[in-house]
Amino acid sequence: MEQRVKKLREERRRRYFVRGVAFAVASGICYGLYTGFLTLAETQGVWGEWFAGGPWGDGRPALAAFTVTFALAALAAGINDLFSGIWSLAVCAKNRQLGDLAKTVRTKPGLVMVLCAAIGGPFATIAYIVGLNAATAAGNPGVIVPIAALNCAIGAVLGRVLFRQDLSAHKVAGILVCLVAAALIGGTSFASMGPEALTGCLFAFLAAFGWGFEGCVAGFGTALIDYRIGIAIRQTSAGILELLIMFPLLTAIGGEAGSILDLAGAAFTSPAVLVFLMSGFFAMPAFSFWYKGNSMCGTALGMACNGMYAFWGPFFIWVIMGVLGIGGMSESYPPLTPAQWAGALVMVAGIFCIAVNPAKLLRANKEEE
Amino acid sequence: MGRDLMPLYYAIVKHFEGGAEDCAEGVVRALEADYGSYKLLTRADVEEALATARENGLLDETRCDLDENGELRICYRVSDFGADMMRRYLDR
Repeated sequence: MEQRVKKLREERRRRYFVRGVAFAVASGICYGLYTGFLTLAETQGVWGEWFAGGPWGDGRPALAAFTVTFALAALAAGINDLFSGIWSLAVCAKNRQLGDLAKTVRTKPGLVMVLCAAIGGPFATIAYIVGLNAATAAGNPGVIVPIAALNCAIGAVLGRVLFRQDLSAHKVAGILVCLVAAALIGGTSFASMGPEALTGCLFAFLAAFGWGFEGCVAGFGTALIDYRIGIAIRQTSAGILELLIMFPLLTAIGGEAGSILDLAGAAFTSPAVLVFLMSGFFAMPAFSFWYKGNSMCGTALGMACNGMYAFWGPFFIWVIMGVLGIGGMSESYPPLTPAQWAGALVMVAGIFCIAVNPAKLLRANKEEE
Repeated sequence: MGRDLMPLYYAIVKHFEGGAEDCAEGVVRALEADYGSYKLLTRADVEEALATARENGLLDETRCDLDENGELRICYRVSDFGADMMRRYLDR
C-alpha cells in the first residue's frame, strides 16, 4: 500500500513535470513562428515601402530614419499584440472566463500583470523589434537572437531574488551552456558586425531585461491567475499601450506628428494585416505557454526551454521566407548553417543540465542498482 | 455567475486560508455551490492549480493516500509564504 502510493505520487510528479516542460518548449516554437510571421509582415505592402526608405502611398515623402526605426517598431508590435489580444479574448470566451477576466484586472495580481505587460510589451517588444530592424538592415537578423536570449539568465536571477526560487550550481551551469549555444546560433553572423548590427544588439539586450522581469513575475503570477486570463490581460494592455501611447509619441518625436493617423490607417488597410493576424495568433501561445511553463517548472527551466526560440526564430524565418518563399525573397534567406544546428543541440544539452541535477541522477541510478 | 464572486483561481487558493488541509476533490466540492457553472472547475484543473501553487511555494504538500476509488489523493496546506501572499495580494 505504502509502496503503491509512493509509486503513484512519483508518477504524478513526473507527469506534471513533463507537462510543464512541454508547455515551455511549445512556447519557444510558437515564439519562432511569431517572429517568422512578424518579419514577413514587415516586408509586405506599405511596410516594404516604409523600410525601403523611399516614397510611400501615392508619392508621399520618405519617412524620417527615426520614425522608421522606432515608431514603426511600436506600430508593428501594437498591431501584433492587439490581434494577439483579440485571439486571447476569444479563447477566454470559449472557456467562459470573460467574467473572471474582468474581475481579475481590478485586483492587485491583475494590476501586476498589467505592469508586466507594460515592461514586457511596449518596453521590451519595441526594443526587440528595433533590434530586429537594425540587424535586418545590417543584413543579419539572426544576430540579435542570442542577445535577447539572455532574458533566461536574467529571469532566473530575479526568480532567486524575488521569489526565493532555487538556483543551484547545475542550473547556473545549464544557463551558461544555453548562452553559449545562443551565441553559436547567431555566431556565424558576428563576423560581419557593422554599427547597425551593434545597435541591434544593444536594443536586444534591453528586451532581454524586460522579458527576464516579465517571465519571472508573470510566471509567478500564473500561480494565482489562470494563464489564459493572464495572457488576455497581457496582450490587450500591451497592444493598447503600444498603439495609443508609444506609437503616436515616437512618431511625434520623429517630427511627423501630422502623419500619425495616415501611418496607422495605411498599416491597418495594408494586406500585410493578414500576416499580422498570423503573427498575433502565434504570439498568444508564445507568451501564455511561457507563463504557464514558468509557473509549472520554475523560472530557470521554463525560461531555458522557451529560450530555444533562439533556434526556432532563425529556423522559422528560413522556413517561411526561404523554403516556402512567401514574400518572394527566397534567395535572401539561405538555409541554417551546420553551426546553427549544432547550437540547437548544445542548447538542448544546457536545458537538460538545468532540468536534471546530474549529481542526483547518478545517485538515483545507484539506488536502483 | 454571481457579481460578488472572486475569480475561480483566487477562490481555489483562498480555500486554504486559515490553515485547513484539503485535496483537489475537497476543493471542487467546496466551491461547487458557487462556481458550479464554471467550465474549469474540474478535478484535473484544480489538481494542476494546486500543484502549481505548491511549485511556487504558496502551498505545502502534507500527505498523500488513495481515495475510495483507488486514485491518488494529495493533501495541501497553506505555507507561511502563501498566507503572507494572500494577505498582501488577495485581500480586498
